[in-house]
Amino acid sequence: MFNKLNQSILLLLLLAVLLFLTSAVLAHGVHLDAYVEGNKIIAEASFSDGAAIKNSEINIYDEHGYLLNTYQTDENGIVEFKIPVLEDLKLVLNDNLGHQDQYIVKRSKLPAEFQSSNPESKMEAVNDVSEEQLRIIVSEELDKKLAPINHDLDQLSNSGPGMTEIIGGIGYIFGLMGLYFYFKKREN
Amino acid sequence: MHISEGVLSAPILISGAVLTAAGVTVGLKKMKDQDIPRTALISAALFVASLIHLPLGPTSVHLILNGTAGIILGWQIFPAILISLFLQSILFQFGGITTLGINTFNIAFPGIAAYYLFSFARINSNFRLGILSFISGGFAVFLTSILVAFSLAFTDQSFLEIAKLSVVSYLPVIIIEGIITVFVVFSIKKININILGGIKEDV
Repeated sequence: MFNKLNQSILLLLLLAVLLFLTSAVLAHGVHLDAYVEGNKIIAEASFSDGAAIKNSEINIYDEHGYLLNTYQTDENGIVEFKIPVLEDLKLVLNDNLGHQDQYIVKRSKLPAEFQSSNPESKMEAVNDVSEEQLRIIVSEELDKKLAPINHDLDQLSNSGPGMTEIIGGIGYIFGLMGLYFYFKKREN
Repeated sequence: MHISEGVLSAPILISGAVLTAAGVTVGLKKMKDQDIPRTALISAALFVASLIHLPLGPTSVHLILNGTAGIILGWQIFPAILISLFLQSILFQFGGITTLGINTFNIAFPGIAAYYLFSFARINSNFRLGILSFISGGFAVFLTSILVAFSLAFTDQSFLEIAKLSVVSYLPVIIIEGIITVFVVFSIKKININILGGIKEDV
């Protein structure tokens, strides 16, 4: 009985040490986020704790799954590129070690001025240049203003697992143990 | 070590799931009632261990502790890893449900290898016990990185290239887990050596 007690105390201690260490640590898995600014798309690659993934490849696919281009992230894990086509764009991040994430930039998110660059709307635009220009300026300014908020939102949705998940997971494991013993006892 | 969804092809996923199912079956068959609390505790420790990151090497890597767990649990490492990876995938979004099979095998199988490697240790020789603890702990991580490279090699890249990248990025973990295993084994020896499944017969 004494040995059993010691055994559980030791293992509990080990668990407690591991749990304690987690508070200062980071999470795993890769994460890709993107937003539109002007006629550019800005993509951010990060580990799920928010640390940037440097020099990682990001592949851009169109809505038919055709590879359009490949970009490399910079020091801050950021890639900036011009919108290649007006379609749903799929951005895929792969670190070659089996971690992958993707982000789809919806067509509806792509900017109006880029959409209006086809010749028909340019003809119409001649009549109300001021309004069209105003729209472009306002939209550009808005994008600039919203960029930090977009960034914060990405960070918020990407803060990694919290204490709730950790304690919850441990709870599940011991719950399973209890369940096993319960059914075992009923069998006897 | 958590291979994401959509990276691997179906044959690899299916063979990984089959191997894991076999391993879990063996693990559950060999599991006695008194093994359950130990398995659950180690499962919880493994669940938390992957949150401990080492900001070393070219990528961000985390502890696996499959060598330590393998030495303590033996074949019960399969159900322990399966449960902890399943919970990680639904709670932390690490890995995924489809890759659960292959990920479990990649981590649990080296744990079993460490278990058998460690059975060469003798309780009365501290030197031999220390060396074998270190080797078992490190070797399990090494084998895991090789298995990960092997599973990824079936996608598009060459095996050697990924294996090099994988082993290099896990090198710090290999060393650290070797050291952790030595500490765990010696503290268990002080308290109650019977916790170690593999060495029991030699006492």
